[in-house]
Amino acid sequence: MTGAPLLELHDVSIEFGSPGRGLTVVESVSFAIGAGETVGLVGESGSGKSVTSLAIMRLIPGLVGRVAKGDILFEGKSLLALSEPEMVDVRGREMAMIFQEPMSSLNPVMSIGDQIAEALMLHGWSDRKARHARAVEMLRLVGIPNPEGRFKAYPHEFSGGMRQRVMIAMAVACNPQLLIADEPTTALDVTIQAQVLELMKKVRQETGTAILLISHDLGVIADICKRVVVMYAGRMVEEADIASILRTPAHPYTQGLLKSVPQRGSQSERLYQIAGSVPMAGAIKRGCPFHPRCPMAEARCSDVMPPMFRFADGQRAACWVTAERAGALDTAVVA
Amino acid sequence: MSVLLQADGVGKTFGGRGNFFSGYSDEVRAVDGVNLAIARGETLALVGESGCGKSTLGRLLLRLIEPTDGTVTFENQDIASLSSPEMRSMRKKMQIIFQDPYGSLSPRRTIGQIIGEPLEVFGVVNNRRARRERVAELLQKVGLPPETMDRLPRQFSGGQRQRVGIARAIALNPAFIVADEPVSALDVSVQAQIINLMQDLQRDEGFTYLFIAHDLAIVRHIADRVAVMYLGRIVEIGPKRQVYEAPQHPYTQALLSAAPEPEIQTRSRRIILEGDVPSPSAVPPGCSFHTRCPIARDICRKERPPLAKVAPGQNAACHFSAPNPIKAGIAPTAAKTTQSETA
Repeated sequence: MTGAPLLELHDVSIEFGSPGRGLTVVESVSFAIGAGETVGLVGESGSGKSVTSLAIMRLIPGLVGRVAKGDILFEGKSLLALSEPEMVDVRGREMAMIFQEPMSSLNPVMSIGDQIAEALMLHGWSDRKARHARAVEMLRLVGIPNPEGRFKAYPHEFSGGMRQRVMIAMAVACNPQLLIADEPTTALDVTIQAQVLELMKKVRQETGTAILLISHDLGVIADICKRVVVMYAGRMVEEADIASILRTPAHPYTQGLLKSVPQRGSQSERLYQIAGSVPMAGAIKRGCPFHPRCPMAEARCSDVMPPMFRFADGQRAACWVTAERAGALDTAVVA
Repeated sequence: MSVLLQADGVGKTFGGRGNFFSGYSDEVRAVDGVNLAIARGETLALVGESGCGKSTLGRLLLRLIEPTDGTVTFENQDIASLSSPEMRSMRKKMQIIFQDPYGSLSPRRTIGQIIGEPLEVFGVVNNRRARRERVAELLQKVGLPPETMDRLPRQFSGGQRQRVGIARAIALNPAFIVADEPVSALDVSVQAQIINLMQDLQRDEGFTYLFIAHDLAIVRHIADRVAVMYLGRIVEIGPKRQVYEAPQHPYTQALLSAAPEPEIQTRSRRIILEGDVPSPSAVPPGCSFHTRCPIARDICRKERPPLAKVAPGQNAACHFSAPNPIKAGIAPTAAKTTQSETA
């Protein structure tokens, strides 16, 4: 990462329910994304990964939930301080989002070309012809065959993979600096997933956009991301470059998650299993959220949430036990 | 090993009579001419993408839906010829575990009632106490505390519900279990628990599994043999090691290479297929994979290749079958530039 980061989350906590008395579903999450960087956000259900991404886009309705603590900075400016009209301008132009469900994220009664052109119009493209040309260009970029001819086609005429391509075209039409992709390939078949991942790499290369990829699938993350943030039950538990995560995971949860996936060439009869089940975000109020399932848990783990300790090579993890073993306890603790 | 179940030319066509609105025939050939044999005690994995007919085939083998063609033989009996009382008693021996542990358990019945129902229906137990004893034993087998039997499904997590689904499936001590995507709705950290449980039960009770899945990493772990389906047909079947290391059908090879794995050096040989899976109501003529196949030639568009023996125990339906056919250097036709290799 060079220069100032594009997006910074500082100690962000997200609360649902009534202010001050609600349920904290995300607590003290801090990470940054540099310009043009691809960061993966991994977690299972209830880890808070999607809520975090919605908070970045400011898409959580105020009555339902809010960022209760911390700040989200985009190019050094607080997104939380923006008025709604200012935020509308940021959404789509500066940062855009792709959702999991390409079936339900497109307007069924509007042609795909018009939907892309609409996004452009909302962000100041006043010339109709220019909008049309840009929309066709985007459809070509994402590999829609015969883009001029398909401009007037409706979402129901496309397959799931093609719709996800249209979503990507729409998201990058205004040249956003940050693309947030929430499980973009989860609803797709594996051969189509491979196509969409290739497309995202191509788009990244051609537009230079930074990507925050949210997924439960470490395989997908490993395919496209340089750096990974691991979340568990609303807490950030580890952050590192992908090679460190895969070779030397520092948090027992990350370790368990990797071991429980069948590995190529493994001769083992049994899979490693993490005991118990995934808790709801905010269900564990004291100590490390992973301690009830952790094979290494000690008394202090159920008592005090560990801070993010700094391990070798910029790897960070929130674990008392592995930090002590790695000698990471003495070095600076980063918030 | 003896054959437990055999399918001969099994096919299923849905629709076809047209309906009130369309008035024309719109047949969907979901499963087409499937031949396979499952040996007692083995795990045969059935893999393929959505709409390939793998779930339909699983249900045909259990006679949960009636085939339009072919026969299914279970323990040397043609199950289509059985009368309904005979079929009922046969059902004790063949069970299913469903994908969705939320939708497949009645929300208003206790865990004990859900697991105990098959015991009562088949008269295995004839009083409440015997039922509770057997349910407690089954709960223990699947790793749940017996005192949970009076709770409702909503008090359980996804993984625990899947354990209940398994307890119900094994309640009658079946020989054959179809597991239809049993872990794909579960969190990654819980999947391993269910896979280990299924393997433990197989070791202890000798179950035969048809394991339907799209996750190739899990299949590599659990299966003895693997069958790959594409558009209703089996395109390759063989021992796991051979299919993973030397797939002989280009679709198998592409499917295996497309699956992203949490590893660092695997991304050099990915084969990206172009286009989408055609609709099962408009299966391409000839080899149904030719529209996406990087090594297709003229013959592939005209003649359907039979599922033929290519190696000991391994069959593939391809005119140009060879170990890893796509990189084996068969010149692709000029129009196809499907193979894209990434750095």
